[in-house]
Amino acid sequence: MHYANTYLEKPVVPDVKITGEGTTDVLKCMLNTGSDIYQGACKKRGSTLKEEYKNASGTCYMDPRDMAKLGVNNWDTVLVKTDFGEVVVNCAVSRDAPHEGTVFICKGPWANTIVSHDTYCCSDPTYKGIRCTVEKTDRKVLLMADLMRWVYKKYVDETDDDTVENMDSLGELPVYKGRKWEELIDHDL
Amino acid sequence: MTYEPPVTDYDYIVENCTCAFCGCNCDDLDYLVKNGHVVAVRHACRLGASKIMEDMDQRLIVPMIRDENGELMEVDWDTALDKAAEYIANSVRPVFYGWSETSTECMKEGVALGEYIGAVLDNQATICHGPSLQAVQNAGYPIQTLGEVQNRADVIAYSGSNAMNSHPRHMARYAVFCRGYFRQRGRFDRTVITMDPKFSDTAKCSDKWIGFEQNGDYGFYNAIRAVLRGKELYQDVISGIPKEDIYELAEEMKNAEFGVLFFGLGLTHTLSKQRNIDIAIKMVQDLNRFSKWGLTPMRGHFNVNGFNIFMAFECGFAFGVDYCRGYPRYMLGETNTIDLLTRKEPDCFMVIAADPGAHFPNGANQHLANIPVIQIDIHWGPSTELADVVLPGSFDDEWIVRELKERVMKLREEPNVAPKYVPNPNAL
Ligand code: SF4
Repeated sequence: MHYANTYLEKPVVPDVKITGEGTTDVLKCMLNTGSDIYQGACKKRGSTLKEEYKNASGTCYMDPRDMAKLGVNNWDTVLVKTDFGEVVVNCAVSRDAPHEGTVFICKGPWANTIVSHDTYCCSDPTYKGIRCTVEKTDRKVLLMADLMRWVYKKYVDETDDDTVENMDSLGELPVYKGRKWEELIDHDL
Repeated sequence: MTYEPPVTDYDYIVENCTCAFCGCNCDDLDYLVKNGHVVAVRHACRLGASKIMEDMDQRLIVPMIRDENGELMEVDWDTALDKAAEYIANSVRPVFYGWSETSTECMKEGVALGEYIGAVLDNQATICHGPSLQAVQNAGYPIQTLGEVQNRADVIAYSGSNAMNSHPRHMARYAVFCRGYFRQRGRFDRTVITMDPKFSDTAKCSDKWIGFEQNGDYGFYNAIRAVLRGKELYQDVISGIPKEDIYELAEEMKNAEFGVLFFGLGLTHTLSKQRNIDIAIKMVQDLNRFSKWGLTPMRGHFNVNGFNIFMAFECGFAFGVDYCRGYPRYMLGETNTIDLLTRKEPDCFMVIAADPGAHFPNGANQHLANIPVIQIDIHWGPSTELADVVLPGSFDDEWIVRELKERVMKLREEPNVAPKYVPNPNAL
């Protein structure tokens, strides 16, 4: 049966080739988080374990000039650090550029790792306007399930970050004991 | 992006369905149905369509609980509900968070359970428009309906809101492009102003973009207010905006026949939080000395405002309601989920129709790793990775919560599981 499909592997970003080797290793920036349409669509469809969510939500949108300073191109990986944590995400040219000195990460488990939980007694954490540093890295962007395991370690005995980061991936489908998902639902009813 | 041919193979169409995604609640969607399954949807935006054409791989269908190895195991409803009820009945400070993407009938059951057990009930407002609700209490609520916007508004201002991404049909159907009784030419009869540090997709469709600097919103609105009140600006540049532009903007807003300010999370998530909204509301009140202006918060989930109105109706407070003393109590920074979690207070957390795993900051979520988490949701999401009991919900959420309530009551009435916390009448 033909179903309408809204799956999109990667958000559409400006196809700009960044030239330049990079003049700095660590870039000081302002971090903003929020939602965009790719992240929203993927989250509400429920495809959160998939590669698609990783690309939609775990991507740092940067000004091309900032990317040139670091010497990174679309879909390279960068390490973003704040006072509250660090996370590895993809980087891509922002659709809203220019905004030199500001980077944008869509809300989701990746951004949560580095945003501030300070509410200043106003119930609302500070999700926007946080100082951060961005640097180039070889580490991989984790899939949602792996990231949750790495950050919260609720169901692993390991406490060491690096060990958990390099554990076998939980993959893009639900992991549980019992009947297999495919037996429960029939895609081609 | 690949081209998707339209779906033409269907049995019948169900017209005028409501979209249950964003606060616009579009009510004109058409579902194409074949063999009793929705195969496509018409008129919805990308967000609405993705919610309706959901990912069946990750749909939660069976209840699950964690075994001793920390792996989720499929169980029957009775076992899962008993386990969840046990966690709730044995807790001293439970928090029931979510409610924004479920029915009001379900909230009703939730309040009954929360009141019985002495829980904190909170919804997504606590991480999105909570400051707006506080500002409304501080400064008032000069609101209008979207019908008035469509028929009358000639100046539309978006502030800290990227409507094209978070409420994609807002501009098209309700505010900007649509024709109205007094705005026969639609877009040509309206001026759109976007105030946002980012040149967002909404800004790209606007006539004017005011890109004030990050965290500069408070100063910027105060400057407009000063101009509206006939004062002179002494600084040349305020929050990154030259003062001439502020004069021009104030003039334009004053000359509107009917203006509307739509504001979003850009204002509530920055440093000045509810003070931003305070000042925006006061600006709208000032503008009403010259012309007719109103404002509307751009709420996210389809029933997030529903919970706030329901709670305000039921117990007098809109969100973050604490029943631990047996009567509703509300204290900002005290009874809100994020503050409770960062203080590591809760000992049982029920998530219903929400996803803290995806939306709470790390510092708050860390505590969820220490306590039992019960999840009622339709999809396997980030919160499932932290959940000890997973109950697949949908439109029977109401039944699940009612069942939980009955089981919790039964457990609490057993003599050996007496409540550990007895409200102290002298606590005040
Ligand atoms: S604008 Fe909102 S309510 Fe309307 S179709 Fe899109 S997601 Fe649904």
